Amino acid sequence: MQNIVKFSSRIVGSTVQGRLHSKNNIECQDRINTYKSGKVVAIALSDGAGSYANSALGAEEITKRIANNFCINFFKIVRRSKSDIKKRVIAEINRTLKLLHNNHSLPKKEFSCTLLFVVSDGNRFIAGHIGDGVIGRFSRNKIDVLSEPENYDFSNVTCFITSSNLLKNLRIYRGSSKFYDGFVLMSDGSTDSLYSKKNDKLSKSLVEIKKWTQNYPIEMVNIALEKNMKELIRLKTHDDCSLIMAVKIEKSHHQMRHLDKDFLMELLNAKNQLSLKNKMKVLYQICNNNIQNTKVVAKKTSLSTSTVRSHKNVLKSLTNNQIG
Amino acid sequence: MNETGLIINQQDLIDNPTPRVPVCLVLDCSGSMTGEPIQELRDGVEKFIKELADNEYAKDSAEICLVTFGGEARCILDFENIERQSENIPLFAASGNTPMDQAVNLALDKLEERKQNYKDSGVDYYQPWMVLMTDGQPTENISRSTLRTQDLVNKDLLTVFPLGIGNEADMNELARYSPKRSPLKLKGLCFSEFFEWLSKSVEKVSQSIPGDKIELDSEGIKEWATL
Repeated sequence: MQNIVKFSSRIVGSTVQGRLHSKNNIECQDRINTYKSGKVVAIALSDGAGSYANSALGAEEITKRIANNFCINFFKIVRRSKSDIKKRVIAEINRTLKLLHNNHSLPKKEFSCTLLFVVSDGNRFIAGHIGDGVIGRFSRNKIDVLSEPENYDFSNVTCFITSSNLLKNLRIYRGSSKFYDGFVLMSDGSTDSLYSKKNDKLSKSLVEIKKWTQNYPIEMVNIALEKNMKELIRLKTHDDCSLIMAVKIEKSHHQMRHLDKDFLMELLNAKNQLSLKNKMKVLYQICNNNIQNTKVVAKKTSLSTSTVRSHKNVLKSLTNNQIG
Repeated sequence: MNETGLIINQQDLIDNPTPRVPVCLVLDCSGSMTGEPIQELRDGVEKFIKELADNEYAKDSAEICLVTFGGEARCILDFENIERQSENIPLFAASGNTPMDQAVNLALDKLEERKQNYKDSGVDYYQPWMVLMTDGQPTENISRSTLRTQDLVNKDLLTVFPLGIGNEADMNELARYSPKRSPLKLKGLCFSEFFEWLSKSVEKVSQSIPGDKIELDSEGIKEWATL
């Protein structure tokens, strides 16, 4: 096992009602959703079409279903061709629209919304995009655009999951994510201040938010993200704003010792200081001394074998490292 | 602002230009508009530009171009920031015949030029509008400009508002510019009411987001127009 501990991706995100919707007392029509299954993490975002009163229902349902389906079936899907993946996304969209239509007795158009998603096991990823908004990917201190907004000729025109030609309008990406330490999805409200349309570049602020996610508890980052979106990002657009990111954390045992205690407790799922101390002891033996055997780790750490086994099980579920 | 201490550096945020709404007014300034009509039209245009320049939402979006036709077709105010435009609204007088074909072609050229300019500068824009106002009959063949306009309207690349002024306006010729909606006839000299409506409509477009249907105020139209 390497000296570096590779944690499963951490997810932060927020949606805030746009100024125009706030003024007109219309609910925020952006939605974000996430799903985790083992080492696979899915994030999804959707922006409901402004002219349809029920578009947020479409946004909620499609993000939930795509995240769940693609997360659970990731290893089956990731081997398929892009065209097969595209067909699978379209089939899920059609099932979702049919379900919504049956449940609410409304025309499918009522549930018009965009769709952005990324699913990754840390090594490979699948991403999909219909409409505007941006998908970005991080590589240490850099971020680049994976998928740009589709606005055709005019600013207030884009395509939705209800558009007629999804085979053409759905963009699918697939590849290695080994060299990327995160992905971000944004609605067009957020891109107004986080994406340069002229240069097709993303703001450094996103790298900053990624670093928060790698160094502070998720709840704290989510609170900060919401405040920043309400007080800064929302002021640069009339539209609803949403953002969700999945971020990898890779730290050596030495680096972990210097992390914020609350953050480390959350990272190692430690309920108290003692649990944290013991998990760090176990991790040190596994990580730095390459010892996997439970009895040997117990002897080296002066912990009982049952305590070591229990900590190893927790660590196994939290990291992408080989813990035997 | 933030008790977590996690604050985005505002300087790292990107200032994307506000999406623009280009509006070209193609105004009949031929001899027949002399007197009260041209004065009312001038006042209406001035009010329109000033209202947009004062509007919280439209001031960063709306861009106006004025093309007049009276004897010749001329662009007397080119697209620019509306606040700067409002400081120097050109005067226009009535004289000469009605070269409507030249004027509409010039307006379409100006719109194309502006759209290209937006694209080159990475500025988003909404569907352009062209308002065509006349009190008479064109004094030239309008085939080229009507075909160009129809083509753009049918491809959803342009919104056209043809408007007749007074009883002499040739509504059949105006209709050739508008395949999707009938031309309207201005009630008397209700320029002011029309431009007020237009200003509100431009404001509405400037606030629209993807998926919005722009519902124009059809009740408001009754205040200044008849079919």
